Amino acid sequence: MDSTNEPTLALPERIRALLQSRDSSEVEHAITQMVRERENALFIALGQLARDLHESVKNVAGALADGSDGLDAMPAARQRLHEALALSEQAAHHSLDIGDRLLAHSDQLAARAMSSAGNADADADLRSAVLAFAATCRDDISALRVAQGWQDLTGQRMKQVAAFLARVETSVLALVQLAGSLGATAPLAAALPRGESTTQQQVDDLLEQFGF
Amino acid sequence: MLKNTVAENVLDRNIKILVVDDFSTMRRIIKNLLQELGYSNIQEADDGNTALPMLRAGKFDFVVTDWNMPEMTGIDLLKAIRADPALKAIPVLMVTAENSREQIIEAAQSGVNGYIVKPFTGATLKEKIDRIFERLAGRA
Repeated sequence: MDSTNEPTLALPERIRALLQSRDSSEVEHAITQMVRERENALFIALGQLARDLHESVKNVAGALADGSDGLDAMPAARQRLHEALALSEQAAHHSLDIGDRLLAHSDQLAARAMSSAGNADADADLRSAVLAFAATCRDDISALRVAQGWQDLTGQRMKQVAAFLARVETSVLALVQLAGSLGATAPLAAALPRGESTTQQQVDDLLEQFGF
Repeated sequence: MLKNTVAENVLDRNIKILVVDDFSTMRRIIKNLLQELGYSNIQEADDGNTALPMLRAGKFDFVVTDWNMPEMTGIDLLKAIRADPALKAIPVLMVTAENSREQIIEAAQSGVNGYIVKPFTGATLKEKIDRIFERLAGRA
């Protein structure tokens, strides 16, 4: 067997027959037909892809909107973060208020102990103990007030997460809109053949099967 | 001259301080600490956009600012202060959770006088403030 004939033999019978044909219009028609068949397969694949994308995005958008499937709605999640932020801020201020009052009490106690220094009846040991206690209280309460900075640090993280959620929400909405527009127009635009109304009709028919 | 005024105010507990932070908790904590250090003339702003007009309207001697704030961040406030002939000599201490090397370098290059990373202690705040005013006194 001549090795130069091998590629020809490897071609489908339909193409080999075409290569043997001397009717150019028949050849052109056959090629057009084969291209259409390839295009149809492509359009079916594209249609399925667009439909799957559309359904997926619809599901995500639905979950975000009504919290179904155990997923929290995105706006509600952001709202809860802001509520947690506000609650932690209130709690920190409450702790700071208590710290302020305790500090004032310990300062008053220290002042009274100091003023008793001229009193001969006053217990000097007790006065020293009170002053030491007041000093310890002042240091510890001051440290306790500074420690309320946790609210600032955690609050910043909450704000960052809320901002991230907002960006994700915006992106998903844009994707939903894009998927909607793709579903309506993109496959049709891709399927437009040059001057071949029959192909367009075929594409439309195919897409119709997928709900477009 | 403002630079001299600031230098003369070294250890002057009557200097006017602006504390800038978007979290009211942190503003209050810093204000408390400053009061414990003996400073009593303290005002607050919740971001750079609020702070800048206050700085331009009043003669502030010192700014303590956060970095990460809405609208105008602390680094932009710092740059705005340094770009304004009337404000550029005001010492700025940054108190922030931002601790990346790049950000610290950016703050330094933008003219920050001190940089404290949250969480911090009262002792750290005192140390940084004292060092800032000692440096300014040395330059005067």
